[in-house]
Amino acid sequence: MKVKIHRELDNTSSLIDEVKRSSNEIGAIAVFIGVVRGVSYGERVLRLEYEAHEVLAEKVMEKIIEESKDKYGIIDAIVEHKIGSVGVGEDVMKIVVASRHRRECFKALMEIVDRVKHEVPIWKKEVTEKRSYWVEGSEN
Amino acid sequence: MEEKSDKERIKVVIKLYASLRDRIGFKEKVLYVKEGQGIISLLHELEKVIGDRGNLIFDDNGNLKNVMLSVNNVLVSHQELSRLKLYNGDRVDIMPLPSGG
Repeated sequence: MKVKIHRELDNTSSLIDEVKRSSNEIGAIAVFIGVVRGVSYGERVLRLEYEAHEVLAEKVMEKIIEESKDKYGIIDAIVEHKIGSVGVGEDVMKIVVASRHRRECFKALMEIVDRVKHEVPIWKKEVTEKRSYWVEGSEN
Repeated sequence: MEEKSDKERIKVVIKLYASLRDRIGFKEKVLYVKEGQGIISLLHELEKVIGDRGNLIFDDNGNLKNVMLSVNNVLVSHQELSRLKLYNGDRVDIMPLPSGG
């Protein structure tokens, strides 16, 4: 298991290799990469600015992975999220899940992505051509 | 009952994040409260300091809204709030709901 909040994310291939090395029982690996969209509600986006409570964020990410292991029986997972200024087209979040079979891999990946967005104390400010504003989070 | 003097009170550091920090207008504030006081009481003390901006933390009925709380880097659920007491040197983080990804 690995979690990371940083200005730079690791290379995707190296993350896949890393998770693959965790067990020879792995038969499926699913990857999610969140990318900064260039348009939001019709406005041209210039960049997103991310802030996190880094200590808490890593704790919550670890908890999400542990709970996902218990619920879906996945073997391992990596969650990385960027902080600071992120330009359009850049990767902002990478999640890699490894399991024995594909079904639990997909299910776990979907749930981990949703939970990271809704439970990990990370916040984004959207900077468009016209304005900048904090994106409001919601309970679910 | 007599009010405790400032010397008998404990120091609690409140830290705000992201939109809450920007809207309320400060990053960190030190408040002196009675030892063993709960977080809700602390937040009402904060409300006295920030005035109308208290509506970013409490709804019209005085219930907490749209915030995450942690004490000394441990998340506190809204269910735990009533039984958690504060002690000298505690740090309380008040955070908006997450919007990462």
